[in-house]
Amino acid sequence: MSGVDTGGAAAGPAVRTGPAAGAGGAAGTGADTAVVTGIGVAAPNGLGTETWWAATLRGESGIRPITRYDATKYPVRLAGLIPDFDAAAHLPGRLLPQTDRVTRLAVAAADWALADSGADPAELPEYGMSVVTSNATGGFEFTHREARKLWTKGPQHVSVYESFAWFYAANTGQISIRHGMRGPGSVLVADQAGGLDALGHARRTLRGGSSLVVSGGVESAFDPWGLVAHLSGGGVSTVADPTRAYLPFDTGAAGHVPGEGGAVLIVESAAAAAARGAHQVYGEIAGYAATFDPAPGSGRPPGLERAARLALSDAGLAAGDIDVVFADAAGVRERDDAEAAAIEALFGPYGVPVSVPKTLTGRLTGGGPPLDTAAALLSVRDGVLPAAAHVTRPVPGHRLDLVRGEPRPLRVRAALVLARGHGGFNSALVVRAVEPGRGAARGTTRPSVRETAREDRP
Amino acid sequence: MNRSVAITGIGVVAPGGIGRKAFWDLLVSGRTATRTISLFDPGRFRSRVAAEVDFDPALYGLTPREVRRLDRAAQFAVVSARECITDSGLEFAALDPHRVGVSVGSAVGGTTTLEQEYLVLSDSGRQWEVDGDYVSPHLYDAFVPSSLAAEVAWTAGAEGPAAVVSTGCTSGLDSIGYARDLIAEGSADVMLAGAADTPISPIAVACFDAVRATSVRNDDPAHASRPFDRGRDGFVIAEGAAMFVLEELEHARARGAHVYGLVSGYATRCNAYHMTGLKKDGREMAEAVRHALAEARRAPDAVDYVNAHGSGTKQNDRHETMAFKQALGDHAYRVPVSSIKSMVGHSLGAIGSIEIAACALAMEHGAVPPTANLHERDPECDLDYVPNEAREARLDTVVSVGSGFGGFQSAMVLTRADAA
Amino acid sequence: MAGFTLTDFQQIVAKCFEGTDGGELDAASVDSEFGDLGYDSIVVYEIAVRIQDDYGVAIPDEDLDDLKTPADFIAYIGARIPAAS
Repeated sequence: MSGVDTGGAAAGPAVRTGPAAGAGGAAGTGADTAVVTGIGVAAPNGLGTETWWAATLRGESGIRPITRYDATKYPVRLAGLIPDFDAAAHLPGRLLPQTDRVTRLAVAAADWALADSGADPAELPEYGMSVVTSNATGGFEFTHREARKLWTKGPQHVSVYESFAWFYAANTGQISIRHGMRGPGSVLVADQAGGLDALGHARRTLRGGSSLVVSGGVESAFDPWGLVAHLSGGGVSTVADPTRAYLPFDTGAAGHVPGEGGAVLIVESAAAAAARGAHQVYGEIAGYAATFDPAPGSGRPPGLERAARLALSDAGLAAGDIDVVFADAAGVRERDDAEAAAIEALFGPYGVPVSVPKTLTGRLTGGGPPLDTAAALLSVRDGVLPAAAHVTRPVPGHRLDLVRGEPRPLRVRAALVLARGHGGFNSALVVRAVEPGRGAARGTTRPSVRETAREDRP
Repeated sequence: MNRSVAITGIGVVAPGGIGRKAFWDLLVSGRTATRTISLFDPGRFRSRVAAEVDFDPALYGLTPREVRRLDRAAQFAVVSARECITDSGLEFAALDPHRVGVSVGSAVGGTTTLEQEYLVLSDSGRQWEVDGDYVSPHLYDAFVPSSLAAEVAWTAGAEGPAAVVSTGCTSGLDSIGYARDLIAEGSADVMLAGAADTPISPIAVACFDAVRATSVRNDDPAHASRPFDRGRDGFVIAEGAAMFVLEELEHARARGAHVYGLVSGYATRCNAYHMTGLKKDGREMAEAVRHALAEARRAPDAVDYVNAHGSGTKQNDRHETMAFKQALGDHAYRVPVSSIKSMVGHSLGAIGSIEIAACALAMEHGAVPPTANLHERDPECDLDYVPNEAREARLDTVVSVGSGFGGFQSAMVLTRADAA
Repeated sequence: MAGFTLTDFQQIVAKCFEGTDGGELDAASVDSEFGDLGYDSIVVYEIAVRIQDDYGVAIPDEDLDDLKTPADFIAYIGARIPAAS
């Protein structure tokens, strides 16, 4: 991130180790350019990247009633749940007793991402491969089971695996072991925003000398104790109709639906990807920034817009270069208002299409923003923006060009992903198209207010 | 941009010593803060020893509202953050809040509160479908550990990048490493960085019992933590926090700040071997030490002190002895190596930061803290572990290491600001 | 019938390695050391937890250090199972 704070004509991107990434949006193919070469998705509306993406474009929702136990005693009976994950089919038997569901999902998603990238860890330098993930809720169900044993049967009945299945670092540790990745590993937590912080740190890790980073985030905490913990954060919708429960930017917004899953991305330096003959590059992680909101009651402005400006500046792009924003989409009126205001301040009224595919999955804590990043990269690949499901009455005052109804065909060369976390965390990430043989698309400044969708005009 | 990072403020909440002065007094005295667990009844547990903090929140400036809202780990984080802010002499209100960030390490976050709430809502474990009607409004802050970073950010008025780093038992080094990166690359000028963990709870004690990693010297708790000693039988679980003001060096110099030292090198590696096991050769830890020294532009023989992970498990102490020999060559036999876990125990994600506080204070006071309870060395641990008595020494270059479940191996190099 | 047999031990191991039936253990391998069978120390600790769960036999550290093979476990548990079974 550049040292300047105000976006606009920016200084060069954050480069600790050399000038190769260049300035002014001229992304290249050098060692300092971070490109995504593989995507693995475990989402409530689809396991596997293409299954999920097709379901997303068809508008299939993964928000469903909780059926594993009697949830009628809770005010919330819906969640974004993955119904069909058969861990034994994807993981060796030895991993199962020592892992929570969240780690099984993460390890599987990492496997899929690696397979998608074509990278073979056995052929890459062990210290040049790293794992950087986000996880905010740990191995919650595993811990619930062990805590129950502890309190009902006694401490001698607690599994040895509780000592590491529980903690937030389990996913990074297990993925690094599975693939022999001995480079700098990390785990970042900032509630929902941490998912982008992980991807930002993956890029930083490449600049520190790694050539491939397995990054992203996956979450799952939907045993009864996990559900109750989700509820305690506030803002969870109690609407029972899956098509009405999570309506961000809608006049009927009644909170969010929490969900499980996320995405794992293979992030490589462009040079390393080229050197191994990577068969595909989804796009570049061109910009990233994080901010924190002022303390409650300070009267100072919130930090989301600033994070977005810093990320744009880091990417060397102007607001007019952004073709789509993947919104944080809290689903709570006040927070939707704040995000809409930030987007309008940056892009002007109806100034940029806003896509909210998480209306089909719920909010996945640290897994959500990596999944949005996957959607952004696939919108670059396929030239189409997923629609916000079920949003029929946009809040007029928001003046957002919400993509809704049907997916919208659009050539996407750069996308902005926004995320906010409980307590005041804000993160923003810019992905940019990489044109075959020419490196990433060069930023060209266009007017920041563009023709907008007819239906959203006031 | 590659800017130097200075430590200009230190705050510590450690067993046997709250505040950096009391903490340092404990370390140089060689006294131990390990004792029989008092935070809950440990009667049914295999290991009943811990290093606890006698912490009266009111005494350390927390209001009743803060005490109600904050998990014990968050209380420790806030108290140590306030101390380091005061110690730094930095006028935070006059800073651009956008240029101040936060990085807090924690392995298990809000475990204390989670377990207490669980007991209430599950009727002491009897109900799988826990009661949702009487949930504490603060449960989510314990559920998601990033609340630690939020609390510290509010304490400092920080509006720059903020996150929790949770890499198990290396969290406390890695959070400082993360903050170092953010300042070095220009994302912040000042970072509140450190770590807090309060894992002395039944579930944590039980799982370390199961994996038989903790000491069972229950009849002699003061001597239970015995790193490098032949009679060691595991680590002693602990709690604590340490926070620092990290500041871009020119920023610190421009205001004439006292600089404890520079964070000159940092590296982390994964052993990619086993979630709990360590390979005998210490290869990845050695790699981390070598890389951190290279970043600091220091030769191995320039190292004046190594603050060991020294957890006191059989496996660890041999593992890192091998790692030091690999990374430092013959100099490993000459450099003093000590483990303060012998005195303050192993506070999981917090200890890495507490040990960096020990290193910075060691440089400040010109003394190496000892390894307590070291009376008969393990024959396979054949370095100079500074047994039982602190030693005066000028320290220009100090290395601290950490090792944790998940395979994480981290190393950090501190250097004196006035040393070449 | 003995109180704790190879079959019982296989069932315990199967719980520690979900997706297997513990069948990699057989009469020919009961005297092999765990390390040679591919069981690291943590698996052995987990086996001890499961035995405590299912048979109520607690194995102190000093004893566990001496249980180096499946046969050692079978003999040790067999000798300590409450007589009722």
